[in-house]
Amino acid sequence: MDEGVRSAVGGGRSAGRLRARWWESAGGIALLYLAAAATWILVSDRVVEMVFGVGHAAALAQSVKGLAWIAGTALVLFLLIRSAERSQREAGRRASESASLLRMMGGHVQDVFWITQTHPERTLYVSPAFEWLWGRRVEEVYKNPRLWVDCIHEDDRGAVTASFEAMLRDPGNCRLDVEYRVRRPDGSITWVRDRGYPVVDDEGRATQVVGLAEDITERKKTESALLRSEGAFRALVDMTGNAYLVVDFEGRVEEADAAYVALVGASNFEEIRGRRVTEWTAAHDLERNAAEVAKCTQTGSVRGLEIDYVKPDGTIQPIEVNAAVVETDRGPRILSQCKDISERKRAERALQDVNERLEAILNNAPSVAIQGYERDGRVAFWNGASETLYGWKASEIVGKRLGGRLLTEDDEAEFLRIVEHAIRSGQPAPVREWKTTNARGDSRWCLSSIFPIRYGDGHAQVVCMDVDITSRREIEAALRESEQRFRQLTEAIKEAFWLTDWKARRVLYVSPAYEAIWGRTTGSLYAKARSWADVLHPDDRERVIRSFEDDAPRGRYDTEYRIVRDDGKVRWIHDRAFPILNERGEVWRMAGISEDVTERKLAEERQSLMMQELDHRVKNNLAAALSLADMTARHCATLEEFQEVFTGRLAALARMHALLARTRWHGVRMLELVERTLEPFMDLAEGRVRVEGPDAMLTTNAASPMCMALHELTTNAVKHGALGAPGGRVEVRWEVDGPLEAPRSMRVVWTERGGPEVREPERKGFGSTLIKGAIEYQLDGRVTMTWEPSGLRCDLEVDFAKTREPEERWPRAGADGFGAGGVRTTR
Amino acid sequence: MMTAAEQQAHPGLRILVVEDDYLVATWLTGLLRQWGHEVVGPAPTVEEAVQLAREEEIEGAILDINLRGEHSGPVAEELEAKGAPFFFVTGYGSPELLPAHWRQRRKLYKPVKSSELRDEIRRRFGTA
Repeated sequence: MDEGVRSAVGGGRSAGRLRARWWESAGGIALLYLAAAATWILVSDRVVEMVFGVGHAAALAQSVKGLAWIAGTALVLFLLIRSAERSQREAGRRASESASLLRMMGGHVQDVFWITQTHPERTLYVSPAFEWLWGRRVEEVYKNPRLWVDCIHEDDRGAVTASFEAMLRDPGNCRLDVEYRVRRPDGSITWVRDRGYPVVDDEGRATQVVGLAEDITERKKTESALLRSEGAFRALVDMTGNAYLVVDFEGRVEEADAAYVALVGASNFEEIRGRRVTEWTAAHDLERNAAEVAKCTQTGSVRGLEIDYVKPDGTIQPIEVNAAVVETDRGPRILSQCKDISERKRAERALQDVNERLEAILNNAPSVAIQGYERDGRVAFWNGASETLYGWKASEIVGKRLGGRLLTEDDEAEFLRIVEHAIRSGQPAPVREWKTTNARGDSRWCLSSIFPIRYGDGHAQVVCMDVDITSRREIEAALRESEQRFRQLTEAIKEAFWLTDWKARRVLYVSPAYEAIWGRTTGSLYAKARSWADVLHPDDRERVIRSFEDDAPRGRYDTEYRIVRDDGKVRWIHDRAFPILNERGEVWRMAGISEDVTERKLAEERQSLMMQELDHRVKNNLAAALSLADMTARHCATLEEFQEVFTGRLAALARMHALLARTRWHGVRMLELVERTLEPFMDLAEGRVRVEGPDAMLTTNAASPMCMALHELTTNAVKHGALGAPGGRVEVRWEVDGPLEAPRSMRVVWTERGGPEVREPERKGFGSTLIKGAIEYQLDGRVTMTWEPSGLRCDLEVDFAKTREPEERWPRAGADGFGAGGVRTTR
Repeated sequence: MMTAAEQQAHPGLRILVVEDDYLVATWLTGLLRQWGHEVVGPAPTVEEAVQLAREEEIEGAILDINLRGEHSGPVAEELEAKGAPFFFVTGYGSPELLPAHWRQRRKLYKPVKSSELRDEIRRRFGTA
């Protein structure tokens, strides 16, 4: 019966090839099978009846029974082949999806149809396409039913065999559907998809397997290329560490890799398959995400979309999405690449924090004015302290050059040079102080630190940090001024000011006056603190050193001493010391003032000398007065006369002394002496005495004799001469040789006219003796008296050089000038 | 003006008067003559006094110290050299200003009372 099938099929083979394919349809095959089988049964039954003579009825029954079986199997065959046809159509459709080439070829290459018996294994049928597909003749497979297995690629063989045997073990549930490689005799490989359907007997065992093998080599090649490129893509994706995701236009997840699954906090892909990505998109990003997805569907891609996912545990997962619309076999889909940007976000936030903090510091630093400047001097930033210090708002000045604000023209040029240098060298500029003028016109001194900063893009600026040091400058200036004043004071004063460290016996300061007083350098005193005492006068040394040691710490050192300088000069020093105590009450510093009092000492000596001299003169004058009184008394007849004459003489001397006192015994002016001497007789002399001569100075020695002479001449004129008679006149005339303030000699002429007629007296009176004696004895002068009829003439000649005393005994008066000579007439 | 009795009791001496003040010199010489002495001088300068001291016979001398600014020291030395007694009459109150040489010498201070002067002459010049 199986052979009948085979031959029937084989018998129609060539016709099927040449003619239409009607028989290839399931119905055709079934009808052919039915016709052939029925014919065979009917013929065989007739033959049996005729040959063997079997009962007609039994034979007929036997035939009917055979025909029924045949009809049944034909029906099964029909169904099977129909099913196989459907599979074939399906396969064709798939092939067309995979590759157009395959579909095209499918039109020319037929699939291999085969039927195999299982026990024993035997090839019942195999269609001729086998030869093309396997590269072997059909006969070979009939001879060796295992041939198709032997031809399977060794890598695939086990799986195919296992699958085949599994089907045979459980034919009710399993079908064979395997893809494997066939190794052809020429070494080439053909990919085959083989499907088998078991034919089951009454006991549920598979007796035969009907199958269909198709050539899928082309599809496999395409798939392999696809797999390779997809593998590369995956590798690429994996390498970037990114997750990928395929969603449809509704946002439903179709594919995702493990990285994506981890990103959304799911445990496996199945958890998220088919769900919308909006489910784990953060609420604040939903709208934006939707908008981006919409944009993506329109433009085909999205770049750098940053959104937050929310994981099931509530943590925020920031991601960056790059997406593109791709065509898939399911239609257009969105392929998204998602990058975990947690680290970047954290870094960005940290950077932002740093920036904000830095900006806060920059802006809020209370006393540091911070500015940024571009290379060309434009202000790049200007913090709050700069606004406060300089008075310009950031909004007024940022983007502009200083342009005369803040700095003088020269300073601004200098500042720009510093900026340029800082940027070029990359080094901070040396810190310096600038005098700035703020918007209110106030001057402020600022200490500026200038340093360059270079941004990532290579752009460079300088930062200028200014601190207001005006008050410090003011204090410094005040200190300098104070120190300068101290120096000016200590260095200008003639007193030596000194300061010592008392315990260390070290000189801390000594003013330059020390050098002038001691005739030694201040350096010598700094080198040896006690060297000032080296030159103490031997008579003073012990006393002074003891006093300095004992009295100075008690604040009682105030002494005068002599020093004998290295140049031999003796100087008087008035030295005082003032202890400065520390907080424990110990002597810490000793300050002192040493004054050169030599001049004062000399002046004191001179004063003392002068007092003695004065004493001497007073006593001499008293002696002279006593002598005068004694002698006057001898020449007076009555006490009344004595009183009158002596009082007149003494009064004249007193007036002369008054004049001497005015010049501090530096002489008497002749003019004044004459006037003062004539003064008591003014009533008589008024208008009648002519005084004429230069305003010359008489020496002190000459004053007294001249006074007495003039006095005696006047009283004589009043008593006996021109002033005693109406109309009488007196002329006093003098001339000098040499300078007026110190004449060498003087000639005085006393001339009386208009008085009573005079004669030379027979006996000279005491008055004329006095005149002669005073001028000639005391002044070594010459007196000539001539009694002319018109009146007395007296010539007095004095050579001052003979009686001038040494000048130094009498200190000169300060400002006693001499007027020009002149003529005076008493009124 | 000396009485005869006075002249006998006090034989006159040759006394040099050195004094630059005319009034004092006149007064002094007047007194000495009244007391019976012979006056040499008076001399108002050191130069004249030294000359007189050297040339004249002198039994005593009264010396003013300051003579027109000069010291009478040279006169004193001249007198001492020839063994003539002398004493100073001075207005100076301070002996230190005298030359150290003469500091210990007794002096009369101006103004001098006539009795004082007379006692000094007696004591110094060996008259009664």
